[in-house]
Amino acid sequence: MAEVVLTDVVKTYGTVIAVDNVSLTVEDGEFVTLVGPSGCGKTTTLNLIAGLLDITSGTIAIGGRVINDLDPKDRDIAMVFQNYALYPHKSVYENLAFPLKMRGEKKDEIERKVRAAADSLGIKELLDRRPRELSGGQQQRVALGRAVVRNPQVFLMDEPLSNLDAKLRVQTRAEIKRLHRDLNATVVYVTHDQLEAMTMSDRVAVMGGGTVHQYGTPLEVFDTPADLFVASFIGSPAMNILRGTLQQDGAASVRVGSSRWPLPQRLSTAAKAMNAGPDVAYGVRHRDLSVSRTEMPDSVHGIVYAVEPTGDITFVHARVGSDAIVASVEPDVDLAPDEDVWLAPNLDRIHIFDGVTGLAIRDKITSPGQAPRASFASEAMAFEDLPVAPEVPSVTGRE
Amino acid sequence: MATATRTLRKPDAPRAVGSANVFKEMWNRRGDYMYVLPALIVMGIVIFYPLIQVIWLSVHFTSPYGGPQRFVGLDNYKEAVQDEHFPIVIKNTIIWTSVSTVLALVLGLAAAILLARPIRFRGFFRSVLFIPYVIGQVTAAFVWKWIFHADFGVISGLLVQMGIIDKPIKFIDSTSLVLPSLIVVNVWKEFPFAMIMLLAGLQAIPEQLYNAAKIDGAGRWRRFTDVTVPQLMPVITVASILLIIANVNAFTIVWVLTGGGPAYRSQIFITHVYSQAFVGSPHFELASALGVMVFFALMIFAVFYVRLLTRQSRSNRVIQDEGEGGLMVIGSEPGNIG
Amino acid sequence: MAVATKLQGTTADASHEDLVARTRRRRRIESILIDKVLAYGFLIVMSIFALFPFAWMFSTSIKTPQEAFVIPPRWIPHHITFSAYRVFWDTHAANNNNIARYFLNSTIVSIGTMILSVLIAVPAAYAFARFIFPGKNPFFYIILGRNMFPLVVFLVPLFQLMATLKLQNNYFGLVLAYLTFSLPLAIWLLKGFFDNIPVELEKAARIDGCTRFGAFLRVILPLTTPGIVATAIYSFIGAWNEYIFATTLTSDPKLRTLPVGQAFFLNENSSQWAELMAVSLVISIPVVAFFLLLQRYFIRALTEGAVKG
Repeated sequence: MAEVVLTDVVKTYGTVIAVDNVSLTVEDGEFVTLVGPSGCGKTTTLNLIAGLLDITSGTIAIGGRVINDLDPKDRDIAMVFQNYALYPHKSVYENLAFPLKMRGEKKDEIERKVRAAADSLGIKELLDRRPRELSGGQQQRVALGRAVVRNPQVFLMDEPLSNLDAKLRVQTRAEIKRLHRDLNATVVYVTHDQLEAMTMSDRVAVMGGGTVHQYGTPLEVFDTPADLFVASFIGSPAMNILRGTLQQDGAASVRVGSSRWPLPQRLSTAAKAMNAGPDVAYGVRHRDLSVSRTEMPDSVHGIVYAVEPTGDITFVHARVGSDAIVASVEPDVDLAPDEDVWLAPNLDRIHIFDGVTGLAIRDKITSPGQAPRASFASEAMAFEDLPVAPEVPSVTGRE
Repeated sequence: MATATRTLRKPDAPRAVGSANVFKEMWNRRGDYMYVLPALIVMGIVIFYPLIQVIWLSVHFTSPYGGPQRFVGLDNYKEAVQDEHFPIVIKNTIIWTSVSTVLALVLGLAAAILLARPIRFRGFFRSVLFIPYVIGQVTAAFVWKWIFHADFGVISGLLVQMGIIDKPIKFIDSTSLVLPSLIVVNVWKEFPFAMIMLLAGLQAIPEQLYNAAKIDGAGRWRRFTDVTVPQLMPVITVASILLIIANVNAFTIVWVLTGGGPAYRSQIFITHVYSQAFVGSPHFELASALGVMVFFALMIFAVFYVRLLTRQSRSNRVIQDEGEGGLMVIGSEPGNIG
Repeated sequence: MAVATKLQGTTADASHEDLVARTRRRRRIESILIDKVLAYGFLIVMSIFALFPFAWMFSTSIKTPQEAFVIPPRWIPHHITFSAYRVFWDTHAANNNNIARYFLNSTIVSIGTMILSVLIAVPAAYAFARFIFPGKNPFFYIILGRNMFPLVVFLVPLFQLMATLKLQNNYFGLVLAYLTFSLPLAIWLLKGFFDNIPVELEKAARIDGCTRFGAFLRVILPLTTPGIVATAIYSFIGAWNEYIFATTLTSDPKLRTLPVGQAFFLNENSSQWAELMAVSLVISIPVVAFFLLLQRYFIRALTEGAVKG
């Protein structure tokens, strides 16, 4: 097992930059997820680590060894693909044996390892079958088995759950997590599904436009998003983002249309200190909004648009001016469409972002998130210049 | 205090940098070229060289009796066009190409529609109907030559026997019937190609579209005109391009059956080119000029058609994936096989 | 009472019953008329159109010379004889056309074309399907554009080229000439097959310890076997049926291929129709057999590009 270190990695295709100056450290035994929308460069980054693509500049090191110029076969990695990529013309046994065979291992040794891997993944009975005779879930297990059997330094996983149905996905998710624990393996995992990223990873790198926007624990990226991109990408339903103007006169607030969204003084001060605004984005998650039929202090008037009970929580979609807001209430709260409601944000848990740069505006006290370890390319420079977000070790990430 | 001034890039809009160095890229990818090198060499010999040679020949004077060649510009083109038979050759080519193509498409479409449904003996009919396509052009030409025989032809014989006519029809020996007769042979040979292409196209039309149309109250005919035809249009377009190119270049059937006769009534462009080059005194320069002409005509036609095709597929079709452009389809050609 | 029960829960009335009845009637008529009579009728007529030349070919080939020229023509000859088939071994009967030799020539040239086309086209098609390298697209368009340039026109320079290279009346010369049409087609067909194989398989193979070329050999090639077989057969049949190049580039009777021999045979003996039909039938057997055996691949190769594009 070994750590994976990416330093200033760039990948260009002709004139297009797919991966833009990404630096990232994956500790030994850590489970790190690259998450982002399609086209954000996450799969390209994974392929660069795998050696399936040539790196344009920068270095990638595994276990302290720079492997830029090594072939994939010499990097001691294993990879699991979204479409499983099992060799259709080989039986399950031959699929599992193939990487060992290519390394020139002895026949009985191969047999032993294949049987052991098949055993641990519960695919013993499938060894004589062909991939096309297997269900999607079984194929995925075989694909995992092919990765496990060679006991590599690093596992690379490219959306391995995307082709599975919902129930199987939840199950396999747990299995991969368990596998990671049992093997004490270093895993780099790629997904576009933020829920997968949050549930499985030790740390998450949120990618967009070829750069890492934030690199931190799941709770860090959830609670203290570094910028608007991360804020809107992580969390489901997505954080409510309202574009408005910072009002510094009297009680601090953000004016969005005709509504005034309350702002704690500390954020107003932080914004002033950073010279941010007056254009800002105001962010609040659904569960940080209390909903009431009567006006409350620091609340904003809205009209219920639709109500979605999910069983353990009920989502309320409301219109505030021209904005659509999602809030959540207890399932026993009975709201009807077109009712008047007042939405009160929890002042301790709101976010504001600079309207131009998109970077989070934070004060010292309520931003316990670590300074990002990843450099955010050019944005990061601006970010690091800010007198905020000092390195405060934090485990919970909660205020 | 630093002021954050950079704007956040959209996550789906990658940054662009200056143009990459092509030669460096080529050197980095030298391994890739090893795969295409043999093909490149062979094509250089049998395609690029002849191509350039043809173009060169078409602008030089060549005496059939040898002697030095000299550059004459477009004189050969002028001479080829001013040939007394040129108008009838063009007329024949247009009739031959358009009628053959339309008939092959109509017959192919009818057969494809019937075979696209789960009827009994489907596999049998498909195989049987496809057979004319795979046999050789020369073989086809000879069988039909015998079928069309002026005295002992089987069609005439049957018609005489049934009392419909009193003396055998001179199909390919008649100035008026020769071209239609040849077109029958050609359609016989190539309608299976249209059928198979259209069959594949029909099977790719999503069933939901038909279900939606049924629920919307569309009858059989409406479903055909409003679902089948527009959905099939890209394939029809491709099939017709391929058929047109094949028909313009179709040499063997005409050459073996009639040699262009009688009295030039079945001489089409391509047999005319061959006659110029290899019949009587060789006029390679005229043949080359004619060849370059037909190449450009087909090229312009194909580009125009492909444009049309890509526009159509964008507006009409349920786009499945971003495949490569329409020109890509020109690889499988109907005439090549036989 | 019974009626009332029957109608309970529906809004049925006279017009509704009427509609139901009419719909049933229409469906019945449609299913008989369109689905059965029209469909099978048309398919049978088309099949007759497609097959009768072959039937006539066979019928003629088992006739005596006298009976071939009987008016009205007979589909089933009174005297069935296979004497026309003796042209295959009896050169005298074939007016000094050594048909067996032509058969051999055709086989050699077709197999040669097949092997060379596949060998050269497989790596090239793979590169076109997988790699991105400068010059790829122009090259590929030229391959495809070849089809727009009439083969007949290629004859002139190829004729001169073969003369220069001393490859006239030579098997290899003919094979080389056949690559003009065979190679572009093969590259195109194979590219379609390679395109259909998920890229991840190579990635997996490379991670599992193969080099790039190793992944191609060990994983991709075995998976493309059907495509390679289909392409090989296409190349074979194309060469087997080819006429113009063969007739122009070979003047030595010893090197004639079957179609050329066939043409000479007719020119020299325009009355030996039984023999000619026998030869035609036998020439067609390998191609039809190939097709029937492998029609799945054959048809897939043909339609691959068009329907996707």
